[in-house]
Amino acid sequence: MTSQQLLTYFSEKRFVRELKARSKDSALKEMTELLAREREVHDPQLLLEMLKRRETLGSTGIGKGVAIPHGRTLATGKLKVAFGRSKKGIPFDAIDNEPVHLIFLIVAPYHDPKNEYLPLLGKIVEAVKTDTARDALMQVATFEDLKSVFSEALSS
Amino acid sequence: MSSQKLSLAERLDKLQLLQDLDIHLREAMDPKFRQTEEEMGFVISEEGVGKLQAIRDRQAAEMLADETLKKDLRLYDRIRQRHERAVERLADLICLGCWATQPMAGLMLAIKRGAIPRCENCGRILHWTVGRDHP
Repeated sequence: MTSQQLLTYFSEKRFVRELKARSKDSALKEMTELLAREREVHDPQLLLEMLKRRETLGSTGIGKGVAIPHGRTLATGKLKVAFGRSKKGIPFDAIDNEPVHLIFLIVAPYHDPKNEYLPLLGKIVEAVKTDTARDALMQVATFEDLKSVFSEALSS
Repeated sequence: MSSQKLSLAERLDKLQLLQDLDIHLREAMDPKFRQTEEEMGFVISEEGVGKLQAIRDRQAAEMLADETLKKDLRLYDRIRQRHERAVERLADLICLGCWATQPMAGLMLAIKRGAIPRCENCGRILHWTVGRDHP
């Protein structure tokens, strides 16, 4: 998956420069509501419940200030990514116990005939693995900036 | 507990939540899926699997305590014996489980009777109610 392909799952409408949330649950809710506002999901409450239950298995806070909550659900018909940032940081039960600043929410339908879900998840993990990329994401002001960071991170 | 106040949409939502739980559990117990997630840095703990299984058991127990929901649960379990997923979306009157077009009249009749809508071809539960949008 190229960076251009990866970016097709993102949208300016699902880009939050500064999340209002101050807790894990409220962050998931805020980002779920973002998808609902854009009519990307038909029932945000069911999606939120699914995401919370996924967190029960183990936090999707993978450390270094990054969380990637994700899961499959009937609540969406298409694979989508929402991005939210919190400069203040949000407690997320991350594996390093550090607050999370960068959240990528991935929702996928059950049907994945092109096998896109896990490669997308892997690509986002790959893109944020360097300090440089994470620092750059902390500075993005616009959706275009976000796209540039991903293009750069995945080209090197 | 009585389901008399539960609408058909709420009953379908319960089945969807149950299916989401079952999918989480199946993925968590699939060594290949789990390895893929762990290689990416995600942690799936045994404690977490146990907690999720307890949530699943509790939800099933709640459904079994109600006559209508008990029937819904049994239907769900029966369909799962034949299909990986018992509940599917309906998009433009097409069941996304088997891609068969569904007659609107049949769906409306099921809903009028308060019955769980099902695909006329594969028998899966269709998560659909009148007026509900599906993106």
